[in-house]
Amino acid sequence: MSGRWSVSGWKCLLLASAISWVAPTSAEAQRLRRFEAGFFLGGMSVDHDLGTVSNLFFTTSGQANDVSLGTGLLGARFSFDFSPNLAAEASYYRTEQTFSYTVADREAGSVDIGDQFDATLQNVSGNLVVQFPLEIGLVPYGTIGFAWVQTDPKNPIDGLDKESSNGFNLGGGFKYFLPGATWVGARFEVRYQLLSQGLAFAGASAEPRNTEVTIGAAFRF
Amino acid sequence: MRIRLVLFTVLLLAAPRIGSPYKRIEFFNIDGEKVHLYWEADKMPVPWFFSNSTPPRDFSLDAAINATRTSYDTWEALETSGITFQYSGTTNAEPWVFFDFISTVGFLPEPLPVEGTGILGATSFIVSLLTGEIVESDIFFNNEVLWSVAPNGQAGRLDLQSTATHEIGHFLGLDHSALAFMETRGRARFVEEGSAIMFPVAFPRGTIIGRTLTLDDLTGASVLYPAGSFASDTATMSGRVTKNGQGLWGAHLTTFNPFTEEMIGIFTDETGNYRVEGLSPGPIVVRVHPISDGTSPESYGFDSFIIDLDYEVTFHQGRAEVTAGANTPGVDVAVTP
Repeated sequence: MSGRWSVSGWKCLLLASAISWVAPTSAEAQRLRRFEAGFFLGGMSVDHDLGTVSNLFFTTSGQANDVSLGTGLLGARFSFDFSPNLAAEASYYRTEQTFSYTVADREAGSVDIGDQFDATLQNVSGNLVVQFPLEIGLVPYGTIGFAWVQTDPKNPIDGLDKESSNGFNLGGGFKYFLPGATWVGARFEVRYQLLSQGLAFAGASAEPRNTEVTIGAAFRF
Repeated sequence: MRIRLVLFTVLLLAAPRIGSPYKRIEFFNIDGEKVHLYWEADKMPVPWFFSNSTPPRDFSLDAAINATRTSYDTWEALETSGITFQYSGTTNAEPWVFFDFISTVGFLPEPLPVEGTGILGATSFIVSLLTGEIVESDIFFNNEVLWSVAPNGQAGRLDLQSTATHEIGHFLGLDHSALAFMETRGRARFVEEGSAIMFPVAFPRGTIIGRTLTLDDLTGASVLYPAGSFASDTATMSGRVTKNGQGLWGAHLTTFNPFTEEMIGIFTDETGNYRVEGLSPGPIVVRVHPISDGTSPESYGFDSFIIDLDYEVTFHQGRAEVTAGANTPGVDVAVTP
């Protein structure tokens, strides 16, 4: 036995441990760092009809416009891994929504009268994340949970206060952590959200359905 | 100061005519300023009498008085309007005897020699030429008409209370409203439910629709006699309606808030400008259309030869958000010729 390699057992353990901390696999990194925080930006495909309401001359329909991908939707997430494959996550995002109207007039026919008002949408959600860390640094995952959403028109609308709603989330995506820097990664997610109510015209009701697409950064610690 | 007085008349016609949103009765005073008709606050409650000179044909005078009193009560009950009335008993004076300085309601045996046919009733005013203050206002009902005072209306007869409600709207100082839609049934045309009480055409016989004020009607009364926090709780919007770059006079502009279903309207003035008060805050849909649908500019106090009716229904494109206690200017509409 070469004296060069003659080290005591506890030193071997220490060395092995040190090596593993210096260069763990991505999957191991997932196990070693159980908390994750991140921020994101995104866009949203919105299916939110305000309903229709008629008067003597015309019928008005209203709908929320889509939120373009970009900084119009900003948010943050925080999660804790119960195990390598299961995590709990809380997220918050805020975005501006614009609502536009179309009228169907008895004489003039259908007329698009464009954007009419803006609202601020805030979304808080709690989700379970089922994830599958792979050795190449990719972490595909699925998510399911509940959401609380508040929609607040920027300018007061008579008889209409902030609209709060509960909802259901279902989505998925993937995270990617560089092998050399497993504490930081990129994240892409698509999430479908069904809400129980939303802003609506007099006598109408709304059940907004949003499809969010977000990209962001994830930091594990 | 010597008060110069002038006589105004406003008629309710049975023949199909159009209406517009609330509109005050206005005129240019002797100083060339536009003034509107109103009752001075210190004259309230405004006393009125019922004439016993011509009893109604098909029911008692008391029944007619009760129907009329209910109509006055309808206007007085508005929380956002402060005008009050006082029934002061019967009088031998006939309605439409001018300058007796008592306001008289009653029946007349024959329609007055006024323009038009099918006149159900009319309201006259004696007003100050300086300020527009009303000093006397009489209402007559045509006793040739088949009237009803039945609680739920009577088939084939016109509801006296509905007509009284309309005429008392004039008594306040409101002009005709164009906020109405005429429905065609066979060869006849009828005013649809939801149309303003101040529309110059009566609702169909046998109905009592006209007893209930619409938002357009109550907004008119509230703008004339604001009470409580009406002025601070509601919004104003203004702008200009043009055709080929020129201001359009007598265009009928309708405002609609889909969140409250409140619809009121106004006519543009001789420069094409308009100003709508009493709006509920929020985004407003603005529609402009010419006087049409069986009514004429004369129905609203305009001369036909100066009012352009040759353009399409046009909507304001874009935002028209109004806020309480403030005016949102610049909500302009360029109509499509």
